[in-house]
Amino acid sequence: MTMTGSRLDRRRYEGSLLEVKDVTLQFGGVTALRNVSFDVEENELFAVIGPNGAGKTSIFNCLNGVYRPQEGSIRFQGLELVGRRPTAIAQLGMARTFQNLGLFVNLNVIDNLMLGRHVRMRSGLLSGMAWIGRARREEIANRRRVEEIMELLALQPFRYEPVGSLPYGIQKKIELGRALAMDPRILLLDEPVAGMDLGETADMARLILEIRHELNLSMVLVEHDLHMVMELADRLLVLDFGEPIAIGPPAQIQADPRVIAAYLGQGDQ
Amino acid sequence: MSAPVAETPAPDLVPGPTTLPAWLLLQAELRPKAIAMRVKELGRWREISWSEHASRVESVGRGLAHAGVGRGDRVLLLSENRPEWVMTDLAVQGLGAVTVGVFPSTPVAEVGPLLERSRARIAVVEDEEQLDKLLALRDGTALERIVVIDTRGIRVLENPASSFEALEAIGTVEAVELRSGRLDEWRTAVGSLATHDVAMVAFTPGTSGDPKGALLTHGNLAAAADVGIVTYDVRAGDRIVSCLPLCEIAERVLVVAQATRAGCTVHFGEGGDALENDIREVRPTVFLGAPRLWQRLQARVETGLRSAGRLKRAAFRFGVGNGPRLLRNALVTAPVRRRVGLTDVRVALGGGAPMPTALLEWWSSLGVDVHEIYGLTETCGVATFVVDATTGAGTVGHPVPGTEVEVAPDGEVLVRGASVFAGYLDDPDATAAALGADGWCRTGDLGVLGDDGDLMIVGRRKEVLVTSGGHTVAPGPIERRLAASPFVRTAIVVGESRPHLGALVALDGETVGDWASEKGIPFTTHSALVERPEVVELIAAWIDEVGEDLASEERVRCFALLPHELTEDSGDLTPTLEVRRTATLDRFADLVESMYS
Repeated sequence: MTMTGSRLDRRRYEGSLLEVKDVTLQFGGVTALRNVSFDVEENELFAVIGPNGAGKTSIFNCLNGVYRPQEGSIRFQGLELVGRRPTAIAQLGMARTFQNLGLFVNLNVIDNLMLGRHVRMRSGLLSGMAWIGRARREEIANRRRVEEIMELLALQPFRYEPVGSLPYGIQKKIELGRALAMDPRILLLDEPVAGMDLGETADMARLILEIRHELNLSMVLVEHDLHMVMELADRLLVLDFGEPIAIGPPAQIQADPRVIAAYLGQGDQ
Repeated sequence: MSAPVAETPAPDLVPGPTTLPAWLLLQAELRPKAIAMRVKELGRWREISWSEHASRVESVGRGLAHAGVGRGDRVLLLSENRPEWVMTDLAVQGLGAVTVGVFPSTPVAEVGPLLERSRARIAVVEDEEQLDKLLALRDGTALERIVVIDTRGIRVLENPASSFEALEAIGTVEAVELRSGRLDEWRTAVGSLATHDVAMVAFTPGTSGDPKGALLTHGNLAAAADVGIVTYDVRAGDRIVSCLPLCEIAERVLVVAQATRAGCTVHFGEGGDALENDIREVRPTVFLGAPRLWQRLQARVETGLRSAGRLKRAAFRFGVGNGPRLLRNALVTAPVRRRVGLTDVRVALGGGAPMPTALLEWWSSLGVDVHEIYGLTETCGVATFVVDATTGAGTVGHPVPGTEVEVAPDGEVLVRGASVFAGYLDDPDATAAALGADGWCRTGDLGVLGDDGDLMIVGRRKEVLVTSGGHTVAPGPIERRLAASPFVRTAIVVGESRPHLGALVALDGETVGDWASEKGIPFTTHSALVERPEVVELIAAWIDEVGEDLASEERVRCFALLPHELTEDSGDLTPTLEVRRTATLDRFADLVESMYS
């Protein structure tokens, strides 16, 4: 599969792809995140785990500009993200999926994925209306990319189906597809297997590995399914009530007494 | 032998080429611009003309020759259906070499013995997944080179792997001229093929033991190709959708042999769950389905009806089998055929496994007359054919032209003719058991020849049971009756040396699950479902219902539900989704024992 890639592909930056440093996020008196730091390397699969309300989704919302942390910095290929708008961050090459699906249920699969391509479109309103020149070329190229993504995710059987009529497991894949349609450098996956049964979970895990292998992406994964995270992730960050308590490869995390106490439950291991 | 014989004389055809590669060259001359194949890529159908097809086959052939493939060498082919499958097959045949097709779904542990037995030095595989299988198995075998058709996802393609593209490039006219090689070698090779030369090794599905490699000759393939022209009138320009795996002999004969012989357009769609869309887009004129595919299309119509309005449903119920034909066609059957894409179908074929009578009738009421073909891998997929689908239900019809069919005194069906194979790969004992000196092939099927020459298949000879009461029973027909319920996926009837028959039943998890939900019966998994007394009762009632139509000794008197569905991965099903009887019964020996105690 050919990658058109984001505008920053050719940019050389010596540091980590994503660097999160001392991020603190507060809502009124409640501290959602306190001094969270981690970085994500090229082609790394980094996972964030923690009990409900630990602040996992808050991290995503900070990364893609929905929340603005009061303290700390988030650098993506060396560029500071704090203070940028979500659209601008998406255009830099960061895409995400949502825990609760955010699809247009009355549109078909192609249209939902084409919407993901929107950040990559450059043609203006007039050429779009006249359907000439750049608008036309762009539409064809985008449609092609959407087909490639559908093939990767095996979504072709559903091409023209309204998304709302499809099973939940398929909708999860479509959401993933829409994020991929943005040609991201880094993909944020918010509980990709929430609500799935064992078979679907195994399918999705296989798909995530395949995507990473084929598109050479970095991924940040927030997940509840510990088993899956331990299998997939290169490194993990464990949060407890907004505070980082451990960071490292799965084997090290599983053996960490603080993690066992906070999350895995004492005596379970 | 004084047993009844049915025979249809050999066809009277205009003389033409006698091998498929030669037919391909002829098609490229006769209709260079006509479409030989269409393949769906990124949502669009890409066309391959006969001249492009022929020249690519030639390039592949030269590329293979350059890699050292010569007469009698074997080339392993491990891929899903796609144009390159057909091209490789024809290229290998053109060199006088032998194609060994392996189902792409075959687990790696089972590919091993096939690779070893084939002694192939070159393999053509579809993608990374299949490449990995062979790389894992390669040590200690003759395999020297693996050609990969789709190299996506493979970071480094290194020895022994190389790309199909490179193979073709080596064989192009420009490349040959650059090497100062000879361009006429391909045509010379194709011209020197003899009808008795082996063209392919086709592995039998292996329902009762290990798969055996049937050696099929150019003559066998040509005979099977002629059957398509003469018997069911496959014509130039016919549209075919490739639905069944090309390693299934019936599909291979239609898509490679008959389509090349007649000049049809073969479509390779997206397959899988998108198969129905493919069929709707292509609107095939010739359509071959195994029973499981006809059932799947039937299910699609019925699911559609369930969500349709009351008026439509009533019209469908009334329209199927009732009312004036024209009105019925305009209001009911034509729209339904359109829904599944079978509006233009002129030749509808059922093969691969016995078609249930109810299924044939259902399709017939919609104006799709499915003609059943009976044949084994050993008879190159063709032996008998139902000419008149409206009267032939329940039988597998008359012998195809050039073929004789006889039922031996012990009930075994024997076939003789140009399509009968040349023996099994490296297995003289099995060959001697299957092929008589007089050319009769023992099919292993039990059958009856009717007065009008129609053959009826009763079951597999190896599967026949003798109960302790001395009753001889063929389990096949009983199993098919049991499986006619939407709740039953598969049934295996047992009873050898037992007082009465019993059955192992694999539920259809989906329909039984739906039924349980409707009835408010709680369950979590398939194995939990199997243990619900309501479910056991449901199946018991069905088995009793089936028993009412059967003779007393044929009735199933005890049964057990299998804890999970049978799959290919679990080793219970062949790639053609038939039950591996011996293996499955071994696995569930305890369950059988408990059923009788």
